[in-house]
This record gives sequence, C-alpha cells and structure tokens, in this order.
Amino acid sequence: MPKKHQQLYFGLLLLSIPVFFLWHLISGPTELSLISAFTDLLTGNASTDALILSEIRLPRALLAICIGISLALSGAALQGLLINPLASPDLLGVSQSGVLVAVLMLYYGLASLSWFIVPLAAMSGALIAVAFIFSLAGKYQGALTIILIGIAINAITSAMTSLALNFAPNPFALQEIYFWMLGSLSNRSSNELFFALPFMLLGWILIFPRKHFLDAMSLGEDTALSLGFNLKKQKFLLIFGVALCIGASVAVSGNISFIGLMVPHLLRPLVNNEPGRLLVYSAVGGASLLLLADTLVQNIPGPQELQVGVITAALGGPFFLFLIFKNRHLLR
Amino acid sequence: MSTLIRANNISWQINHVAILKDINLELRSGEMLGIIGPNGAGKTTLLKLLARISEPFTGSLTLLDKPYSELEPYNFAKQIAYLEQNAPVNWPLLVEKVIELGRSPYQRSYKKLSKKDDAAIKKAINATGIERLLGRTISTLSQGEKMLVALCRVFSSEPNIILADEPIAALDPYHQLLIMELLQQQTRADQHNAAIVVLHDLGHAARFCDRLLLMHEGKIVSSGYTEEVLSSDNLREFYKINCYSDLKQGIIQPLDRV
Repeated sequence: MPKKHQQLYFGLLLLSIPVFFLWHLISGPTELSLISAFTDLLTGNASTDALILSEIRLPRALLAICIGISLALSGAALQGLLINPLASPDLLGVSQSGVLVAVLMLYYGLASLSWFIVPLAAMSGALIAVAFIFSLAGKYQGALTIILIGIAINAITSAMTSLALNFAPNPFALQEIYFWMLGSLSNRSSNELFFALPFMLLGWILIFPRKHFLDAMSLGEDTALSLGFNLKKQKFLLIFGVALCIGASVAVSGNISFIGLMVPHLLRPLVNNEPGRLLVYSAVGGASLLLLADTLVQNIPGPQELQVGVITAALGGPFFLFLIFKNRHLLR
Repeated sequence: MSTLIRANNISWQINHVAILKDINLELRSGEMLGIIGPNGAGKTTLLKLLARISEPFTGSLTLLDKPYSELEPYNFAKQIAYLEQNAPVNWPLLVEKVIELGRSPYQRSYKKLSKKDDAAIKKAINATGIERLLGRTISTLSQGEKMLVALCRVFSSEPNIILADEPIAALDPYHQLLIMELLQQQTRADQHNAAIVVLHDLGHAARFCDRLLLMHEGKIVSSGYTEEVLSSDNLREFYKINCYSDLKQGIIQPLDRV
C-alpha cells in the first residue's frame, strides 16, 4: 500500500474516534441534548441531562475507549511476540481464564470481602494462563501448538465456569456469573473506570516501549538475542503488560471477544506488517471499533439491549474463519 | 595481530548428550576463520555459543580478554553480529525495515533513526549493492537476495566481528561468490575486523578462509591453514570421501565415498 494511502487511512481512523465518541454519547434509552448537558455540567447546574452525561454516558464511552485500546494492544503484542497471526487473548484462553478465576471469587462469596478481589482475580487468571501457554509451548512456538493449547485452555476454563453456573447458589449469583461470560459495558459508572484505568495504564506503559523488541522478533529469537535484547526480561514485561490489560478489561466488562484478533489484522497492511508500529495503530483501531460496537448495541431496537460481546463475537467468528482459510498453509 | 575472541575448554550438552566437548579456539584480528565438518558435528551450536545465544556449560569465552558475562548485551551486539542460517524473516516486512533492524543495538528508545544510523544504513546498502531491492517486500525476494539483505542488515550494525552460519548454503554460484567476497571485504576493511563462517562448501572454505577448524562429533579434530586441515587424510577420515583437490584454485571435487 502506498505511504500516502496509509497515512490517509490512519487519519480517518483517528478521526473516527471523536465521531463515534459523540455518537456514543447521544445514544441510549433517553434523548439527550449534548450541548445543554455539557453546559449544565460545566456550570454546575445539576439537571437530569448533566447527571446522565456525567454518571452514565461519559464513563461508558471512556471505558469503551480504554478497553478497546487494551484488548487490541494485547492482541497486537501477542501476535508479535508469538510471531503468529492467529494469536489473541481470547483465542489463547487468556480472557476465559480471567473470567474463570473471577467467577470462582463470586461463587465462593469472596468478592464481597473487598472491591479489588474480583479484578485482582481476573488479572491473576490472565497472568496464569499466559505463563502456562509459554511454559507449555516452550521454545518451539509453532502456530499450531499455540492454537491447540489455547483451545484446550478455553475448553477447560469454559467447563469449569459452566460448572460454577450449574451449582450457583442462587439466581442472583447466577446472573452475576452470567455477566462474566458475555462482555458488556452497560450500567458502568465512573467507579469501574477509575478502578480499571491504573492497571490498564500500567499495561500500556509496559507494552508500548517493547516496539523495537517486537520488530526484532520478526527475525526470530536467536537473531533478536544477537541484536542485544534481553529476551527473558522483554518477554516478561510484555506478558505482564498483556495480563494487566486483559485482567483489567475482563474485570470491568467481562469477556469482549475478537477485538484483540481482528484489529491488528485489519491494520497490518497500514504499517507494512511491522509488529512495532502496529502497537499504536491497534490501540487507535481498538478504541474506534469498540466505541462503534457499543454504540450499535444501543441503537439496535429490541426489548432489551444487546451485550456488546455478542456483537463482537458475531463479527469476529466469521472473521476468524476467514483468517484460518487465508492462513491454512501455516496450520498444516 | 591481537586475539578478539578466545574460547577456553567450552562444552555444551542437551538432555545429557554432549554436543560440544572441550573446544578451544581463538579468533585473531583481520582473519576469516572457517568452521567446517560433516552434518551434526556441532558447528552451529559452537557458533551460537560464540554469538552468546546460548551459554556454555563449562569453560569460558572472552571478547578482547573480557569475559562475555561482564559485557552488556547491547555493547556486545555492537561488536559482534550474527547471521543466522537461512536468515528467516517471519513477517513480510519491507527490505529497508529489515536492514534498519541492524541498528537495534543503538536504538533504545522510541526515537527515530539518528543521522548516524542513516549513514550506517546507507553505507551498508552501498557495500552490498541492494539499492534495487529497496521498497520490495522480503517475501518476494529470492533466497540469494534474502541473504544479501540479511548481510546488509549485519553490516548496518557496523560490527567488528561477523559470525555467519552457512551463509551460502542453498544459493546459486553467483550469490555464493558475492556473499563470500562481501564477507572477505568486510573482514579486510579494518584491522580490528574478523569473521567466523560455518561452511559446507570446502572449495569456498579453501579459497576464502585464512584458517580452518575441522569439527567432528563435537570436537575440533584439526585446525590451522587450509592445506593442513583439508588434507586427503582428514577428508577421508572425517568426511568419509576421496577427493580431487587443487587448494590453490579452491577446487575440492568429491570423487567417491570411502
């Protein structure tokens, strides 16, 4: 793709964020005049519009941006690290593991001990899964091995999560657990945003500076080592960053799937396949896509609002099939 | 002539099987040292130890009399460059991006390439003559062109020492000569330069290398100038072949198996 076109597409992508952001703000069950809501908010006039904006719509839109960044960034980081276009947090079972550990906390009632138990559980679940994948795949991280390990982890964690659902002590617990399985951004307040943001920020700070390392990994581990990179340290920081991003996202939104797989893939042609530059592009693309998806669920008519995880999965499933078809030579 | 790399009694094993046993070698400034030997002799493993990709189980390695362990990875990478067998590139990157990666030891932050980086890259491109490949994707190149790009990447990091693992295997005769000539030029370009090249082509080893090490079953069984190492006795004993050879012309033609 010529450089001019690449810049144009990236410009459009950047521009899409404020557009989708505004569209997201005006979407919802009640009509909202943005201008009057913002003026009320700034002048301290406690009108209904100002309340809706500050307590419901703004946190949700900002959360969509942050989670979109985190998911897509993690996907790009994992694909670069494993040199595998099919890697992503949800396909590798990282998100599911976060969900499982969080559900276990809910199931045993430990969640009520403190506000940070569930998010912490989600993060440790994600971290355990990534560590497990890397130790099992070892030095020969072929496309097939990694995907198979991911399928196995997904199967195990889904089964255990279903088990918890089966034995859920009461309908309320059942509902709460169910929430973890379908990602959603509805009814989130600024509490969730302020809780998740520091962990996500730390994750971003760990992932973004690994740009050169991911580029060097394109030449294989041995050559990356010979170029002066401390492989163990770089890998650890990257994996830890991914676990923080995924853990924090799962903690406040449940499992929103396929963003981490789709976004890096769609944007790779814009960066000439460079895994390093892809990080920033994916972050922007992830924010844009999740904002759009979450705006769509609010605008699709129906008795009940759709879960945004359902929309991303509905888009992502066929996309994944397409990817498998395109990369089938890798999977032989 | 000073010693650049020195290996003292290094050994390496995997799953309790010894791959390298008590290897001693030294790389002197200004020389091109060839490592030869039949398949499975441990040549690649030895080169990886010298490139600090793996660590020896026993023994010590020094660069300019400093133990490897005392050298910062980035500083080590500025002095020693490693050219992997087949020079894999896992994403379809642009040629210029691959070359730019040679500057990795000098790039530690998010900053763009400095003027010094650009100058080094330009020099490497001129030296290897691959201007015509710029703007192309690595996956569209032939094996010979890929190896030229990899060599250009190695040159761009301006190393004193190049460690190359079978750089001319699977290349046509034109590219075999070109790559060997470029490696030799680089070795001769500065009195502090040197190279170690793992080779299967004994003719090229005889013609381009100043000294040779012959490996067999994890040991160095012969070392010295080409005439001594490539003697008919050695070829018969370790390669199990009879050859017609004219070492001055760089010709070693296998005739039959022993």
